[in-house]
Amino acid sequence: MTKSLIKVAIAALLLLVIGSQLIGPKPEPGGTPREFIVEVETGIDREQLSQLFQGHGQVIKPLRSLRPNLHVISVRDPASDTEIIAKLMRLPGILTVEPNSEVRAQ
Amino acid sequence: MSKVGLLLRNTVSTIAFIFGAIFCISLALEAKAERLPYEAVPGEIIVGLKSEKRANSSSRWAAGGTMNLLSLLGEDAKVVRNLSTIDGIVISAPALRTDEEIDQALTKLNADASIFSAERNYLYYADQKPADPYVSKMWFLNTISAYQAWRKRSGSPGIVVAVIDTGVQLNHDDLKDRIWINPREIPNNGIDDDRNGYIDDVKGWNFFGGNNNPDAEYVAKATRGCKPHPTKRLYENHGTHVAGTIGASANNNVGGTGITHDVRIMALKVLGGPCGAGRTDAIFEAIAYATANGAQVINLSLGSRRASSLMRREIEAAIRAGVSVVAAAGNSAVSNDVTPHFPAAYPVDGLVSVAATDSNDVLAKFSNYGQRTVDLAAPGVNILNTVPAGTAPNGAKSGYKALNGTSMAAPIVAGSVALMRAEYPKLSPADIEARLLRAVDPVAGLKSSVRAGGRLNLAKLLGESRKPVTPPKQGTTTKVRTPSAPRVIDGIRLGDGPTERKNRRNSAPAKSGEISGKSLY
Repeated sequence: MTKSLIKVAIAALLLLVIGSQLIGPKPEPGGTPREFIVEVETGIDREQLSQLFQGHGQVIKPLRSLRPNLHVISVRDPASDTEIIAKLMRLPGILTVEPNSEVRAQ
Repeated sequence: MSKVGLLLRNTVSTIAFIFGAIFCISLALEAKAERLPYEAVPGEIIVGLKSEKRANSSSRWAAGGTMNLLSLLGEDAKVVRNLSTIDGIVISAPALRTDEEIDQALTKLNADASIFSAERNYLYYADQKPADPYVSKMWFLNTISAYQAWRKRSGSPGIVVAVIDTGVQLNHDDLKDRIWINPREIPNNGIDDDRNGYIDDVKGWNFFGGNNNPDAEYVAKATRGCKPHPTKRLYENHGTHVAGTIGASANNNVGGTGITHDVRIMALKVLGGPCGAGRTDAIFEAIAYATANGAQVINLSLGSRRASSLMRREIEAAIRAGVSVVAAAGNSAVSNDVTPHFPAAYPVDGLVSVAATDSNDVLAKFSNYGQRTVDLAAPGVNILNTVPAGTAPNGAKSGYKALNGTSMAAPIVAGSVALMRAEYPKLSPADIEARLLRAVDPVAGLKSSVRAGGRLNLAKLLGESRKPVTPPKQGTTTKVRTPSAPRVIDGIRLGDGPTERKNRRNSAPAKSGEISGKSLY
């Protein structure tokens, strides 16, 4: 009886270890931060943007002077990219939202 | 006539004369620009008899055959040389002045049952082969007929090509004289002298790191999954290789050569880390920078499966501003028509997407393809060119390496476009794309793989403003190898060895600029 219990306990422990390995590290609360490129209406400054995105994401940089109405924002949200884009597009003054995807050398 | 009237008449005459002179000069320059690489002796035709007629040819020529031939070619036509070994003659026919007149005469002559061939007396030239030591190892130059093309134009002075990539080794022996210098920026004064939004951007910009140094960096080597190796480090080589393929210096007795021998490389670093990765925002900032700062050609040897409407818009803006954009089709061995790879797959006129072929004109096993979305193929296997070598404490040395990838095929086209921009400055990016599609060597195996159905031929591209002319066969030095043949050229093994194969297994799954060859330093 005791032996069986030990076996079951070991099996459960193994399953737990393997499962946690497969799932990987625990996600940070609110999800891993993801970057999005946001095009806003001309005239919205960075301060207004920060207020606009309060509770949604953090403005991390404007795309320099060549494209003053483009900004990169960082969003920590467990929702999918599509859901986040839909959420951001509902904010006033937002024209385009795209994931800031990774691009690789070929 | 009053003084005012006289003055007015003189002024009008002077203006008319100046405009007339400008018009004549521009016509002359245009005519020069349209010159074919393979010219013929004006008014001369070579006529050869069919072999079965040779036995009694002397009687035929003697029996008035020559006179009959000459009568077809106008009043002043005469035999200027007898070619006894081929039983032929060279005829001078000064009355035949235009291409159409010569074509009509040749058609008539070739319709004669006794004539084997009648053709123009073409001029032959020595191939323009640079004297750099590794040129003979650059098999692709012969494949794309670069030596013939360089008779017409080998440099593109004044043309700036932006290399949007992992950075460029700015002090490489074969690149240091080719690096674009921003003329409106004073080095290291901490001021944005040209007010373009970038302080001290003298030799380009590093959008990856956010600074003014677009040099190749010393980074951790990639392990499986593009994780950084805990101890091993090396210099990023992708962008330096791309830059060298476009425009490494020629005839400096160092290393190899670029497709164009005189060009300015604008180094814009957007990728970095073990596998050369970067973000979309950096890339379209770099495209905007290149456009605003005078680049005429942009090379994008990079890509992603995710489309970006903002990047597409930036590329469209660049093309509208007259900038040609060349992009690698991708290294996933899939059809871009079905699974698009961006930016190459954006349906934008003037954006040229490039697949990779090997030395047998076979689509490279890694290359993406697409009859609708990939324009043409260019060599992209075992492409030898510049890379940084050495270790960080001692500084980067000038090295050479053979790499594989559509990343290596795209700069061959970008360099060719730079030559086109110099030769035909009035052409738009869409015109150049259209000419690239027409100027390929048709390859049966590529018919369903790329729009053009063939692989780049630089000689045709530079000379194809008129009727295509078959280039003379001479001076070839590189053998075309069979697939089973060992990949050895001039004693240097360019193929995969055990170490290279191991490196490849450990490198990026995206196959970024795979290392396939022996390094040469």
